[in-house]
Amino acid sequence: MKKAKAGKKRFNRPASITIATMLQIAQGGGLLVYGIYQLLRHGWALSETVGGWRYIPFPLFESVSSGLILTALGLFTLLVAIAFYFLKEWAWLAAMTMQGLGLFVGLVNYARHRPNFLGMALAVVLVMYLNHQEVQQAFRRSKHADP
Amino acid sequence: MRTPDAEITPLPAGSLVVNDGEIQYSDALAALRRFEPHICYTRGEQFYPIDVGRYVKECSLWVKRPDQPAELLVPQGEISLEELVKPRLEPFGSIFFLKFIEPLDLIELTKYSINQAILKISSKVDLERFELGRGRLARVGYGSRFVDALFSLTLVWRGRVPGDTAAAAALTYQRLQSEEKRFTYYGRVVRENGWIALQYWYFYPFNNWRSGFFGVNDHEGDWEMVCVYCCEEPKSSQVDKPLVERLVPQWVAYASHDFSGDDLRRRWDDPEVVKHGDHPVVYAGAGSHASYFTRGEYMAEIELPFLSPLVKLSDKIQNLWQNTLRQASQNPENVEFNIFRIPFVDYARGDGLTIGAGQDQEWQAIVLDEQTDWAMQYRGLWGLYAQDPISGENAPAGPVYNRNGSMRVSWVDPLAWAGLDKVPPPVLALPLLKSHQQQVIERNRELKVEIEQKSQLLQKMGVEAAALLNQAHLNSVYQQQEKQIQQLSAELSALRRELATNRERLQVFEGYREQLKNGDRGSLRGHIRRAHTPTVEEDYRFGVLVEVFAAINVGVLMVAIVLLILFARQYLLFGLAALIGALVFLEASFRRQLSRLINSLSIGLAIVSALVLLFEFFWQVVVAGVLIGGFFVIWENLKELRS
Repeated sequence: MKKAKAGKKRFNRPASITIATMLQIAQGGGLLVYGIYQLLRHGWALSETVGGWRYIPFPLFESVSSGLILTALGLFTLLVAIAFYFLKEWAWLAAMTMQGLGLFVGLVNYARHRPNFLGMALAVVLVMYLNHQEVQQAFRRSKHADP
Repeated sequence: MRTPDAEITPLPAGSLVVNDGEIQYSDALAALRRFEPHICYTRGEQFYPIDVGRYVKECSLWVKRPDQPAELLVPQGEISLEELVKPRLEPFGSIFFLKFIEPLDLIELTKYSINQAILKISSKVDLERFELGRGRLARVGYGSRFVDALFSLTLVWRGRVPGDTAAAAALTYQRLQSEEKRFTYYGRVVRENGWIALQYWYFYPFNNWRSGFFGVNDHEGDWEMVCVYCCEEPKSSQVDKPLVERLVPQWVAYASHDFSGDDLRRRWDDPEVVKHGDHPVVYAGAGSHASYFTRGEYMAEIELPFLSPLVKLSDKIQNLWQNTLRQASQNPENVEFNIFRIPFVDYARGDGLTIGAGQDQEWQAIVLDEQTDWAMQYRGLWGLYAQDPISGENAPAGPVYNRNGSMRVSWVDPLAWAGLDKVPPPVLALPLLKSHQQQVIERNRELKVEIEQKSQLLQKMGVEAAALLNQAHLNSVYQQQEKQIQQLSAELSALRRELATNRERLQVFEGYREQLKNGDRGSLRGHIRRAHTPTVEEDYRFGVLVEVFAAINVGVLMVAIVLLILFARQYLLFGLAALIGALVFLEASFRRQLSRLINSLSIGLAIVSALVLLFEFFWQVVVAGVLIGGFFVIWENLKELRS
């Protein structure tokens, strides 16, 4: 019990970690909700398709698979957010990779005239937070504090 | 191993002219000998300090007049030190220069290369072979590599020393040394402000840093300097002692690339100063001959003049990124790193020949002073004037002059050169402090009297102003009185501030006085703002693959661009992006720096996205900014009300 308390004291969590976690939860939650919505909306249509995989219309296939991917990404983002909150060493890299990918997709979509400005803004803010000196120091400290 | 004539030096009768009085020639030589540095070279070094007489005999003298080709004045073999200093009238802007060597012709160069290859294979010379360390390009990022490629290209249009000149110079130097092996320095003794500065000047016939060690430049003639600063023992203990025995070394300064002032010098008792007895040890850069206190490999950065605006801009952005936005540095180990500066490695490994008393070879000392004609009268360059606008490939002028004919600070003011002009010798520090303390005490007495008088006057004026208040007919008198009161009050305030500051100063002086009395000279390295430290081997544990990759990738990219333009122009952008992406990804993987790469890429994408958002929602961003500002002010004011 004492050991756990001492451990907690060592990781004095800065406010920017909490804010970044909340933003990631919002991002992950958004992806998850949108992914499930896609699945629910097009999943029925998919189940009603007759004649096997060959006869699935491409737009429908695209919507369902994107729904699946978005759901998986949303779940992964939430997982990363929790790990990030507890200063797990891998979580920072995972979070930054997610934001990098998100921004890349966002920019590609913008170029294809299908922009998601809210997602882009969220990712920009998150990148700034992840690269903040306070956040980096916290992760460095937790890395050195690990036995 | 002492050379036969190492002790034989020309000893003219009389004394040396020094700044504050005279020193006997023999005393000067003995003092120089006592503290002469030991120089440790890097294996593979080809040129060592030589006496200027032998060098000049191998040279021809030239003049380059403005807008005219260089003209030969005295051919090779006909020039001596006496001939060199003869007065010559030339138009303004003319540059005199020596030309040490003619480049080898093709047959000679082939012969030399074969000989070198045979010698390298033989075990004897293997001991002297230079082993290239971790490649400089593998130590830096892509930006720097592109700038480096640019720098290499500039050599095509810049004036430069031809590549085969180094080979010819090496052959001539070897011949000179085989005739008579001598390693010479020129020593100068200067007495100034209580210090005795022992300057050791070294003249190398050639600097082959670029052609021999992948450095910045090659040039004929190279002057380097080391200075030992001594003070004399107090007078009570000076009875019948010659100068050399009275000297106590306090500081030592080594000339090194772009370092100047305080950063050049180290205290004699600094552990960084390696010593063999009374001899400081200098580690000379391979080919560059720059001097270092510690053996190792040093990253030297140079800046191309036309890139300096970009360097400044990049520094400002870095400052904004780290200090204003509080973002983490992308290069935490090297905070002064800038991609627009070109990195070079200066190898000062100290694993080659060592010259100095009791070492592999010994010095021949020659005393230099204001009467030395070749130093004082010859203002030209000591080697080829390559007409390089950046000057890196032009030979330097002598120990007294800069290339433009002005006098070197190191010659005119050896103390200021190493930032020692503000430092008194330890024996003088205490008396100086006492005298200064006394001055401050005197000033405080004056201040007290002045404050007393002015306070009384101010109070009188205050009383008068109170009497005049609301007397309508005396309004103008009252206004004038008020103005004078304000002025006097400000004056009094300044005097009181000065008195308070002086009291604090006196307290500090008292503490420092005690410190000096106890022989404590204060911080050993407090004066150093920027110190040269060798790179740590662990930082650059790259495999051969990384080295090869770093060396070829910029070239490969350039070739690929040409191929894309020729054969697949329609995919140029896509191909280029894919190629750069693949190269960057591969290298980051080799270096185990994928996380840094991901971070940098994400930041880049975030910046682009932020610009897109700003472009799309400029007015909304402005309105939101104003609204947030407004709410913030309301919140702050409400907080104030609540408290």
